[in-house]
Amino acid sequence: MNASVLAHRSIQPEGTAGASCLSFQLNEQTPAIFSMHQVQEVIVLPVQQITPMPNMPSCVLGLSTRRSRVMWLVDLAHMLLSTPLPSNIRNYNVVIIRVAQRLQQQNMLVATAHNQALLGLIVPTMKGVVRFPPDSIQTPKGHFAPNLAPCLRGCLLQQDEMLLVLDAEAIARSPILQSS
Amino acid sequence: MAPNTEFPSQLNNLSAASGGSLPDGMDSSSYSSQDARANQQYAQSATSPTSSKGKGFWQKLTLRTKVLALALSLGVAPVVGVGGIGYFFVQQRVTTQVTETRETTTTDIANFTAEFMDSRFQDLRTFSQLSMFADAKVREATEVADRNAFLQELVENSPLYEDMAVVDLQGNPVAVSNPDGIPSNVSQNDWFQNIVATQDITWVQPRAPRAGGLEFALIGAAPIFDSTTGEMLYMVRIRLDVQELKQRVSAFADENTEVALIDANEQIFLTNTEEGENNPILANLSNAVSWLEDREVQASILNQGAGPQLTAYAPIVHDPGAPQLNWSVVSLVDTSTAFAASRQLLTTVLLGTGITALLVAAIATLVATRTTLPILQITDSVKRLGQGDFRTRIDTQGEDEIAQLGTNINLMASQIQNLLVKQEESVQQQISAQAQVERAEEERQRNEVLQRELVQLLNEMEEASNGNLTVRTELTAGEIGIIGDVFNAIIENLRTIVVQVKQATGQVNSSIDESEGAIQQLADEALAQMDEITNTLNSVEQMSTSIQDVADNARQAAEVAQVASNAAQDSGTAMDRTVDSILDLRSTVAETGKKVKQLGESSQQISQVVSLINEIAMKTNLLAVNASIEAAHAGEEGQGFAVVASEVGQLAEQSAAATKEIEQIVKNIQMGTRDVVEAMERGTTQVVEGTQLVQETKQGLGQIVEVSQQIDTLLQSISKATVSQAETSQTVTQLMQQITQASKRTSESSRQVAGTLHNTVEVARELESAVDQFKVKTDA
Repeated sequence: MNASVLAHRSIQPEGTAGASCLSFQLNEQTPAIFSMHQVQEVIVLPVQQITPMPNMPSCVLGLSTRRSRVMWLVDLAHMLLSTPLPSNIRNYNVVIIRVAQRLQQQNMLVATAHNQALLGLIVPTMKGVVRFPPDSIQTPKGHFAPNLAPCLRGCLLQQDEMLLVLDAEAIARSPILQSS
Repeated sequence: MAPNTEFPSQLNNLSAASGGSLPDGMDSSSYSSQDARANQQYAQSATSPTSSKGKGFWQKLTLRTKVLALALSLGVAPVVGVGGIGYFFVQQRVTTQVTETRETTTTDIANFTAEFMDSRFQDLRTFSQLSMFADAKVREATEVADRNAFLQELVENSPLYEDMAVVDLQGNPVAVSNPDGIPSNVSQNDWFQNIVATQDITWVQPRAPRAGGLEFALIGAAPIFDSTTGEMLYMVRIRLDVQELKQRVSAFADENTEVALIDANEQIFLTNTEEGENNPILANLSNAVSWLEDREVQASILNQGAGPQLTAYAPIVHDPGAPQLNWSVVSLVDTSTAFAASRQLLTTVLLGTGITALLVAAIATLVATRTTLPILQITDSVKRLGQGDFRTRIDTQGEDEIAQLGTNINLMASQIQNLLVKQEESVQQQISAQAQVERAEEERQRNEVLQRELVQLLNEMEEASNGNLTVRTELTAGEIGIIGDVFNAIIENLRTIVVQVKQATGQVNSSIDESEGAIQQLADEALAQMDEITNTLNSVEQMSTSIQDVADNARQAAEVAQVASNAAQDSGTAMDRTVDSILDLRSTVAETGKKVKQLGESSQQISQVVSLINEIAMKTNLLAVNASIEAAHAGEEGQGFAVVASEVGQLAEQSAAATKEIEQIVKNIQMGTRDVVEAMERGTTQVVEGTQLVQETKQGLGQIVEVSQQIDTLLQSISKATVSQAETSQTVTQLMQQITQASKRTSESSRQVAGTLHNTVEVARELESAVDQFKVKTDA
């Protein structure tokens, strides 16, 4: 408990003046962030509200609705790191990202409305909002998984861990999601 | 010699004994029985030497018995005979009369029934000629309803008919008095077929009641011919009312009489009583007698199980013109009812005969007793005269032959008596005169001889008075010689005695000398015995003392065992209390365990609530994140809102942390309660073991109690045994003391015996010297 409270406080003073980002765990060892501007909403979705779809990549879990809009749901860790979620989870933490309409004419697997497309990314753990200056983002160093690399905007070194800064548009545009 | 003075008293006694004139039968019989017994005794004593046992029974009887038997047989037998013969004939007559009456009555019933049926036959003939059916014109003029009404009226006007119907030749009813009384087609009925066959009036035998009916049906039928053509058109059928016939027949029958009508099939179709059909005689009549085949008037007493009954039979014979139905009448009367008069007669005759026989017997007894009494008295008196008692006289009364006999016997007895008295007197006078003279002469001579001989005898006997037993007297003839001889014998005997006395005293002296030593030894040994007994007595007393000690020790041991038993029982009670308290402890521990389990459940609930709070915190955090996203989307204006959202997120995280702490605490509590529960269970197990241990201890104490009680019992029996032993030893002591005293007495007695023996020796010596004075041997 003390650890969580301390972590919150350690992040808090730094981000007061920087851009706000949504922080989450991609898997147990890998923390990651999204730019807040790319995030529409964060929800908890029960498993039974997801409708599975055939002939889709294995990382695509199915369709669901949110505020009268249909969206695809993608297991992000499965997609990027090939580590699928355990099958016994009853509620999914979903980060709903929005991407620009310009992707419409391409045959992309993104629901669109009001010039914005929605895509639900399922993550294991939601952490919270962090702020940090935009210039502290560094180019990624080292070796990353082949699916992860195209979606990576950069990385953020924080104490003794490295936060991956993910690009929502790149994810939405990823060929992995393209239907066969 | 005063016979005359005694005669009157004897006569009075006799007359008193005879009792004058026999007051009543009882006295007569008692007197006669005594008399008879006396006669028997006399007869035995008188005839015992000469009597032969071959005499008949009749001769042994007394005269009185014979006369009585004769009188009774002459008086009673005719009465009984006449009564029996009279009863026999009258009873025969009455039986014949009753039987004839029954036959007559039965024949009357048969005649009545025959007439009744004949008139019905005439009725049928009349019905067959009714113009309504026989005359074609009238037949065509009437309708079915009219014909029915006509028949109905006929039936209603005559109580004899129950039903009437007219059928055509196909058996279909043309007119009926009662539409239900006849089936729709009767062509199969026997009467119908009879008429078709005979073209004449017919009667059918009574038919057993159809289902539902109780009575037999009496059915007759007649053909109806057309009055002009003579062709048979119809048949008229009538059914008689059996109840009416039954009433009329019943009017003939007496009370208690059963009358039954039997048809040609030997079936009973009418009885005057309800249960008459069940009478076994009626049911088995054809088996018992052949009356139904004979068809003649008969009467007899039959018994088929339900008592004998006088049964009469009569056939019913109809007029020659009418059809013969071959019916029969049987009437039954209980013999008890029928022969009541005969029985009354028997009772009267028996009673009369009995009373007459009793009267005749009484009179015959009285007369026989009165007649034989004087003869018996005379016999008695003559017997006494024959035995020598001449004072006997006979009490004579009246002037008949017996009285004369008595008077003559009296006269003869008094003459014999007088002769005897005179003879005795004369003989005695002669004897006394001669005896006086002879006696005086003889006495004088004998005195002289005796004096001379006596002097000689006394001289010879003088030596003997001085102790010389060798003297003898000279033997002479006569009385004095006899005395001398006797004297010699005496002296000789005396001498033998003296010799024997001398020998005896010598033997006494020697034996006394021997026994004196033995007695002395006996006294000494008695003394020694006394000393030994005294020693034994001391030992027995010591034994008695030790037995007493043993008894005391046993009693003390018994007390100690009792104390031990009581202590063990107290310990048992304490153990019980311990068990109770342990059981209380067990229940308390169980209750505490329940409470602790409840506590665990409560902590479970707390953890549930905590997880709920945790969830709420998570959702709050999510909302805070969403609020931050919205604030970021709002741009600069959302900055303040973003701050608030971040604070809310912090709060949510704090809540989550606090709930985690609570979860940890609850987990600790649950672990603690689990430990407590385990400890409780172990405690419960230990309590159970403790209870068992206490129970075992209690059983052990119970065994201790039993053992100590057994010890107590054993010790008490030992104590009793020792007490009885002490008593026995005391008894032994007393016996020993008695023995000591007895031996003391023995010693003293033997001493006394020794002293007495000394005296005896002296007496014997004196006796010896005294006997020596006699001279027993002639000096040589």
